[in-house]
Amino acid sequence: MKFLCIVMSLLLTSTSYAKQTKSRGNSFNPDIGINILFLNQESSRDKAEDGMKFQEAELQFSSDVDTYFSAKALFAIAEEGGEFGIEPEEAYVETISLPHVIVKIGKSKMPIGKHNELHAHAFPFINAPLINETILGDEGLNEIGVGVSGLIPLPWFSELTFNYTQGDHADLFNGGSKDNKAIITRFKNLWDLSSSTTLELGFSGAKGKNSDQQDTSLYGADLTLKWRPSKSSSNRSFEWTAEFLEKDRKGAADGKLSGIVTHFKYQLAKRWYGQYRHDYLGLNDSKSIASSKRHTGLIAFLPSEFSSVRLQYETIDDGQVKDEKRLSLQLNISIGAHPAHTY
Amino acid sequence: MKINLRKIIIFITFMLSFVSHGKLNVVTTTTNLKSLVKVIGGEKVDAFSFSKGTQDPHYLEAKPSYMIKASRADLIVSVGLDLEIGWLPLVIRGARNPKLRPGAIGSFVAGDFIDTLEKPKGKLTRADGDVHPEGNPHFLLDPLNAIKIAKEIMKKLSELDSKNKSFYENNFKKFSSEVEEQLVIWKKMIPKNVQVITYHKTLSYFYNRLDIENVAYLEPKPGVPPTAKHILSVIKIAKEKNIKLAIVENYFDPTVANRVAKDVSSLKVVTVPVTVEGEEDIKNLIDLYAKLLEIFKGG
Repeated sequence: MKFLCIVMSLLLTSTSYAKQTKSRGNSFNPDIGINILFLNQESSRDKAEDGMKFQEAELQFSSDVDTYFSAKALFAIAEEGGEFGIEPEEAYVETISLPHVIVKIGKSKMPIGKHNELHAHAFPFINAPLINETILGDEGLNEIGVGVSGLIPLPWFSELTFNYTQGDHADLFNGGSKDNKAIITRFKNLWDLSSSTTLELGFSGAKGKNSDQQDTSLYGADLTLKWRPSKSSSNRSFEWTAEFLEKDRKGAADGKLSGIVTHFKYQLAKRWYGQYRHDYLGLNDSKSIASSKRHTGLIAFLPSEFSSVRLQYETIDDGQVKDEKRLSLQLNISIGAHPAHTY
Repeated sequence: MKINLRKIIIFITFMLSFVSHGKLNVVTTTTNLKSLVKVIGGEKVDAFSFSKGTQDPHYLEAKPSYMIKASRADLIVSVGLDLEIGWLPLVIRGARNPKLRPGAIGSFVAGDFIDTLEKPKGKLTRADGDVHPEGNPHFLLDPLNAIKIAKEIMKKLSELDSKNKSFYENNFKKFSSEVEEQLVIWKKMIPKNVQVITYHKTLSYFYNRLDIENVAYLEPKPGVPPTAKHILSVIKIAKEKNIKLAIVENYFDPTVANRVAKDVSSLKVVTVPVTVEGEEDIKNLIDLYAKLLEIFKGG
């Protein structure tokens, strides 16, 4: 509470720098964007998921609220258990008038690693990495709370984010009592190795009480190397990412579970990308989950900034007699305003 | 949760101490804008451009290193007209520097001062390609627009740094009279009825000012890569009109233009810089105009 008071008093004393919006007809309407994902899938094992389906639609709205805040809301529409449901994935306000920090209040995807903050339409592959699906769940780690992030005055980009949240995740943080909060932090660093190459190194951590009234801790580390020549005419680029995530859950379902995911993405031509991903889950033995390995290959064709067609092939070795093989074809489109993607 | 207010204050003061004093710290989205800021600001400003001369500013990414630059900047100079919409909002957000937000004292959007060309009429959809609803954003290739923007930059720098007002005014006067004098000469250099083919609508303002006629674009629609059918139609036009020059901006791939030139014997493909620092010897806008004139003066 004291913290909120400080934020509010900082806000009230800050100079107002709001956007001077032109008085045009609908200029006060929020920016509205819709992403739609269609999927066709064939699996050698899990036939229930086969066939054509409407994977997900995301409706996003964003706008400045006033001199002090901007707001964003994103609703996902997807099929679950044979019925369509709408779910608020994110709904938050951010400060726009404070110097040096961004204070974020509301429900949002938590910065535990790099992948967890992405929306389905921005996933580098059609599905999420095994570590994200298994440790953080289908919806990822998405919490309600207050977050502060600031740049550390170092010669390179160094950002520290601290989230103080209600802790409302069925498996990880579900302490029962309203006093059991969860804390999620991320420390992100990025260096420009040259005008075309960057290296990012991030560390994340989270801690809160689970339903057994014991601690759950999460640890994450990620490394990303990106290369994109500063001559736009070259139409080539390259990206390599490795991400590690570990869960340490005390209590009845006691155990550690961790894994890594790494992927390469190479731009073959202006509108073509070739990608490979390797997943490994089970670096620590878990009582409940067998270790799994997955290889994924993907070819993407992007007709424009607003559409993509992706063909993905996976082989999954999860300890059963026969590996699962899965072929997926996805159409991903974006209409309306589309906020920029983070680097 | 305990937070020590005193520590926060010390931390903020520490961060504020990084704000430089003396020189104005300006970031720009393009090298053309940086060139104008340097012309007016001279040694009183430090200017940095996010895009390089060989980069298409529309497809830049919101690199965190840009946020660091912007976090320490007094002024951000951008083109506007949606050119930087895919990345600049994130840079400004990540910079946590409220004075750079649109409409604030440290924000300068050059496009706000321009009567743009090719402003689409009627209903516009993305089926029309990468069309800018407010008009073509490559306006600095018209030397008179450069004067117009230089004047506004002079006003902005004077507002932020009033003690050097006369310095900025003098620099502007020098620049505008030089460009005006040169423009008279430049206009005489270009023969009548020059007709060209261009890859993208980057040079529209330059053509407009110097009465060069563009008869076809290699892109069927802005931002849409050429199709076989479209290339055939361009070949037809080039043959019919006996076109001698195919211009490809140096941040696009010249393969398609070379393909057309294979079928049209009279056609010469020239890759041109359209930005300051687009080639090594182009240090400012006047160098850039001179370079372009060199290409077109032969017709």
